[in-house]
Amino acid sequence: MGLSRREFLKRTAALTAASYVGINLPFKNENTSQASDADSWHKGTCRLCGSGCRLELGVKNGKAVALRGIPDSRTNYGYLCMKGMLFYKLMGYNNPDRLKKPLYRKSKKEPFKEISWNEALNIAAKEFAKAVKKHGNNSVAYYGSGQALTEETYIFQKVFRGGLRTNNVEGNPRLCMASAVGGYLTSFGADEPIGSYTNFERASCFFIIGSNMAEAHPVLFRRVMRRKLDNRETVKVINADPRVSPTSRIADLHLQFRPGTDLALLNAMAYVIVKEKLYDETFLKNYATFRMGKKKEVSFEKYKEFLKDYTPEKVSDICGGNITPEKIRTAALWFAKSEGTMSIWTMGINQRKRGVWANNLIHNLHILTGQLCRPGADSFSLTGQPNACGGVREGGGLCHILPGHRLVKKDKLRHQVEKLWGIPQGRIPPKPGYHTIAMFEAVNQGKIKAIWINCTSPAQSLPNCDKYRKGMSREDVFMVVTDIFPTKTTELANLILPTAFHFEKTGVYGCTERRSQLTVKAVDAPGEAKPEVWIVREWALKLAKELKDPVIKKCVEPFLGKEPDYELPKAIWDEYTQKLTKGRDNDLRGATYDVLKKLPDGVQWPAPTKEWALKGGTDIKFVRGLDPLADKHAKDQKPYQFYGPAHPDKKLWVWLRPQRGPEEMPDFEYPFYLSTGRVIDQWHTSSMTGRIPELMRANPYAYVEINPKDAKKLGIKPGDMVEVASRRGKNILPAKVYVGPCEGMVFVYWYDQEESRMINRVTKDAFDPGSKEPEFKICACKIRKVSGPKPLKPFLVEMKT
Amino acid sequence: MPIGGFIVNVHPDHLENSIRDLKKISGLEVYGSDEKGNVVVVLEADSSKAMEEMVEKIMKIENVLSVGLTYFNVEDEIEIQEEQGKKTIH
Amino acid sequence: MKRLKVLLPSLILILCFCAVGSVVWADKHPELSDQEKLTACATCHIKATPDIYKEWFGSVHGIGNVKCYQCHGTYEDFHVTPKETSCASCHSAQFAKKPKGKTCWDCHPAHHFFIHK
Ligand code: SF4
Repeated sequence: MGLSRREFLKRTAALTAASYVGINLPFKNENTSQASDADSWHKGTCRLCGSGCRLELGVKNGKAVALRGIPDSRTNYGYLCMKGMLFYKLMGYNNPDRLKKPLYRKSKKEPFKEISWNEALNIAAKEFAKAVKKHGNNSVAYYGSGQALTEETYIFQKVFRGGLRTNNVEGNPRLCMASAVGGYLTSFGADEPIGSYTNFERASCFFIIGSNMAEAHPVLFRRVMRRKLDNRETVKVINADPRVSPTSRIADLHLQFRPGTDLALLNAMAYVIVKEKLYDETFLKNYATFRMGKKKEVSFEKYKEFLKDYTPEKVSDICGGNITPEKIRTAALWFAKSEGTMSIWTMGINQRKRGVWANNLIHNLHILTGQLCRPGADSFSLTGQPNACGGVREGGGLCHILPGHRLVKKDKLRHQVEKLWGIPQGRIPPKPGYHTIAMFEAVNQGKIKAIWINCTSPAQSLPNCDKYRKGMSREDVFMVVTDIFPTKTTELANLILPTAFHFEKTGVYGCTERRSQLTVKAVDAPGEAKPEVWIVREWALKLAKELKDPVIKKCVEPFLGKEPDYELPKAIWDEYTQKLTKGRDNDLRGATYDVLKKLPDGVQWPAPTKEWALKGGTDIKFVRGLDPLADKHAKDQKPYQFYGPAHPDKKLWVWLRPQRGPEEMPDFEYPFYLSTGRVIDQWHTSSMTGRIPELMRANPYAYVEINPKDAKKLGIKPGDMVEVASRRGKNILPAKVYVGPCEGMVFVYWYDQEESRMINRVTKDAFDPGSKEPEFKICACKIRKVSGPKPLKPFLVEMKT
Repeated sequence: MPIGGFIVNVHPDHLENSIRDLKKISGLEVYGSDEKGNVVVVLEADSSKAMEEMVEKIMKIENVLSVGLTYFNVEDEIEIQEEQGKKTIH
Repeated sequence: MKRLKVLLPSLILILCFCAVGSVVWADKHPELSDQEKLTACATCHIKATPDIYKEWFGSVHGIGNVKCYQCHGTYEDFHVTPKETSCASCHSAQFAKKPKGKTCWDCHPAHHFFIHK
């Protein structure tokens, strides 16, 4: 962001003065060496991935100055990656780019003007009311984020569903873990992993597929790495991925398959397990059934029949890459025979046309071998964001779910929610709203007239984003964006509302292992930035007046008059946990703010009582003696009780799912696979990490990774500028030539905000018919060299007013 | 409008109070401090003369030991003078 | 303007005071252009300090992706020898227990980070 000349002079003055006495000022980079200088330390959670590392923010003279890990936290044991160590540089006035005032423009062609909060909320209320009156309740929508606090997602969805009477409530977790939700529900009958991070130290075989956790979840990877390095002979690591990544460095066996052949590979492992009788017969008899459809149960024999198409010999041909029948057999053997096998995956599995099926097939391996519920045995999907699980999955942040793992379309559950909110029955529509891609399709078609985007940047993060940016630029679509920095999405907004960063407000994040952790406000937000919970409450009151609808007011009534930094989020958390999670599988009644404040980390649900919560909650679900709900729901004497709400037979389901390729296969014209992913130094759309000089310099712009063999054929040398084009759009990126992606595949990082390096202009928006999660990970592209190396500059969207 | 960067040296035992007193002077911004009693301040005034007056005010604050200039910019003041100079010539 | 010059002696005084005081300047990385600063450390250091690079790459920090700047900072706050407090960001429990008068790397050699020397 450009400084005015005056401001620049003032800074120079201050910096010069400071340099004489060796004082570091915030706009010069403060070193962590000042860690010990902080006046006070405040417990909280890192928000730059889904690991949920606990840390303390050092505050000096009211300013954030350092971060350090909390050694007795069970998520990270004190370790932090570079993002977690440095994000204090984004807080308060530490970063000059922070949004500080509400900004408005009537037309998206005009420049923004600063306005007051009162004006801003009036405009937002009027525009949403206008849309509802003229075009009906489904012409408005909320698009949220796995980075919003649980309290925020909860109050947004409450006002939209109960107040505005629409289920158009979505969020970026749809792009990230919707397939994992689908997988858990269909295989185990209950969402979210059965076990915990504790299994990292207990597993003796790791099956890491479709995840570069070394970069995407570095501190969790550290635990896996430690386990492997301390037990080199006895612990096996299998890494299955079309790309060799830093995660592969600890692998004993790397299965490099062609993109989109993962389902065949997983079925082949099942084939070996069945053929070699490596399955656990008693476990299967006690706890499992075989399924072809929701209602269609089949026999084990039928499953064996089905697997005949997936012999290692056949599948090694399908998979290509380095896959041999021998490797498949070894992997299956290690998987089945280890004392405890833990599968770990992320977007490589979830962001697939058949992401739910891919999830099912991993769970199949665990059910067959009984590698579940015992120490070290787990089928564990990692989430990408700090609160995709807690806020969005559990808090009702997607179009088809209500808080407490309730489905919108189930009348009984919907009416429960209406009753708990004290609003008339029938207020929440029975039909789920638009899922993400459908929502932005509806924006394109002008069916949605007013949309509120919170804490995420779909203009950059949606697949095939140019298509959806057209809709977001429509003059007849009113767009509110709440965020802390300018982004590709604020560029298309009518109204930008500046929000408080976490640690500048209070609330809960729920990480991958069902653990809810509290961060209490420690520093002030810059300028007039406000916590979202305050924004929604005030907006709802105005909305109630505009629409003359007392039920809208009713939705925020329990929160009126509460001070916004602590009392307000606490009241929302209390309503959500005490009322909405009561009697549900994610029972969080024991995890009150007071309990959460007492713990170094947080509480894993189910945690129905404070006593249980104070112990940390439930480490492994479904095990009698370890999970209070397993005892409560027990139907017999068996040690495991799969009481999940989605399976009436209370069994685990082994699914017969055939191999399915991606929506778009390489062909003569577009001969390469394109896949995308992350690097450790940057996160998501880099609006935060890009503003931390250490992180930005380590990865200032996106590259395209090309296998040396392909590069040679095409005459591409390292650093050359390469055009990556698909049927949808193109990028021009510098080449990184190395043995990462397999032959015939290129790989691009997706954080870069520069137009010609924004890879989601090239990716495809096909999606899983079950989970509606897009297939970011595979499409067809062509590549060619455009020029030799060029000096490039990093790029971040700036705010022009 | 001249801008000056100063180190104000205050008695370390009274750092907090001194900073509070300093902040009361309009046109003065405190940018940072350390436990040795060094306070980084930036003064903004309408003219060099006004700035000198501010410095005098600072000197009068209890527990302020010294005020040291480290950076001084008057470019717009010079510009204004030049502008005015031009005007008078024509 | 003239009067401001009167202030200069006190400025010089402060400078002397500080030079004696414990103000530590960040040690310098060799001068680089802004464009050059946009290069990942390893790109040059594979060649510039190959032994250190190799040691680091094979160490737990190398495998765990703890890169140069996490300890050495970036150009504005660069330290050839990291401040120990940057170790403490992750290893604060160990840091608290460390024997007096020893640095972390006295026992855990830099870039290898064995458990003990
Ligand atoms: S691993 Fe994730 S949660 Fe932990 S410090 Fe790094 S970014 Fe933060």
